[in-house]
Amino acid sequence: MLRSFILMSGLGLLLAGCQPVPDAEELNKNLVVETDYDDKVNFRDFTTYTLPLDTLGLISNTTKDTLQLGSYARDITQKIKANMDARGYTYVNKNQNPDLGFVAFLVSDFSVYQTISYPSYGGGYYSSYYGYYYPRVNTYATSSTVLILQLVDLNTKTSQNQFKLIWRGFIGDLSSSADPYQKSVEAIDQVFVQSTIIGK
Amino acid sequence: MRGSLFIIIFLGLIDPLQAQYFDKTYSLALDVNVPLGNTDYVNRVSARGFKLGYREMINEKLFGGVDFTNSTYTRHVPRQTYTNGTNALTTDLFNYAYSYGLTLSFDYFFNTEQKLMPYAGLGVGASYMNYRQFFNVYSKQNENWGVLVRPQGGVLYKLKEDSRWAFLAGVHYDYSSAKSKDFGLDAFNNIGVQVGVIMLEW
Repeated sequence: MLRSFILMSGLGLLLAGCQPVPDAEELNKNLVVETDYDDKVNFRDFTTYTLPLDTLGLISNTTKDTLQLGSYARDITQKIKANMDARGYTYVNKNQNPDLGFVAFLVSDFSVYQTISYPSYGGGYYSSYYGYYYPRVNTYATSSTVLILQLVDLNTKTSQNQFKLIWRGFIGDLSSSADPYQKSVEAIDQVFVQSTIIGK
Repeated sequence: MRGSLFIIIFLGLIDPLQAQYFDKTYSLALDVNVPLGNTDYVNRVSARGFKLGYREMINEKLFGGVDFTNSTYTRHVPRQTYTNGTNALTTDLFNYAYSYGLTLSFDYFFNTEQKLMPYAGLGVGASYMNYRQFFNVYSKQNENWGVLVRPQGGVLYKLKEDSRWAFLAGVHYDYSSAKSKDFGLDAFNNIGVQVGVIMLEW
């Protein structure tokens, strides 16, 4: 009887060990959009901005490319431009002395890690019946991609001689999304919806 | 020969009487719980819980032992924007609370000889609450310990009087002092219904 109970208890503990988590499809249905700004800056003081159209920056550990081109970059930057224009700022080329610089870039991380487990047969790896056992290697891979947006004040430099960052946006995770293209383009609008501080 | 016959008759008489009284029990029950506190964080009925219990007889009607319980509470908060100073975050949230309890428990049985055996009891012990919030691939968690107090009551029902198995049905109220500062959550309390089986040993 006690044996049966121990068996049932083991089953119960096994169930307890498996903490349920949300369904992945539901969890990754929408991208997370986060923004933050420097509250000492008056965004109405700026008039013009510049933005590298049709191009996104790229930081990745899987490619040496530093630029993301193509329709995705074009759609993202055009969406940013449409929102900046709607907020009353004027787009100019970078050689026209703009007040603000809009930077958009992707950060992509692909990681592979492995675990090695050794079968425990009396401390050795030799079985008279099966012969030698070899360690078992499990390989796991994770991937994450975020779209980072930054707004810098091109009239002010920090003590490190860098342009002052006055606003930033974060959209993620694109790697786990079922529709990263469309979802991240839509998320650009949300970035501006929750950043009412940006505007003339 | 006559002596042996006497012993056999005597054991035949005494055994059924001894079989009426169990002195140890082991129980396993499904535990369905409803959160009563922190319902802004979790509000769904938890049907995923269970209880493991062990009791030893202290006297004919009073039994003492331990209970181990587990349940998971959840809530889905649809996509919205959260503002905190200069920071704004838009996401939907999946709030989870994993609850574990280990209590020293005492049950008073109103009878222990009949098919239907009602009982009332109290458990006091440790509560471990793991609050975890999922949003997209990100998550935040906070683990807390507290004191768990659980008044409980129910009935055992044996199909036959000499059965070593019985069905268990009970209700309980749990108060856990495990608060979470990180999530701004107060002490947790819930009510629950347990349905399961209990093994009687003597």
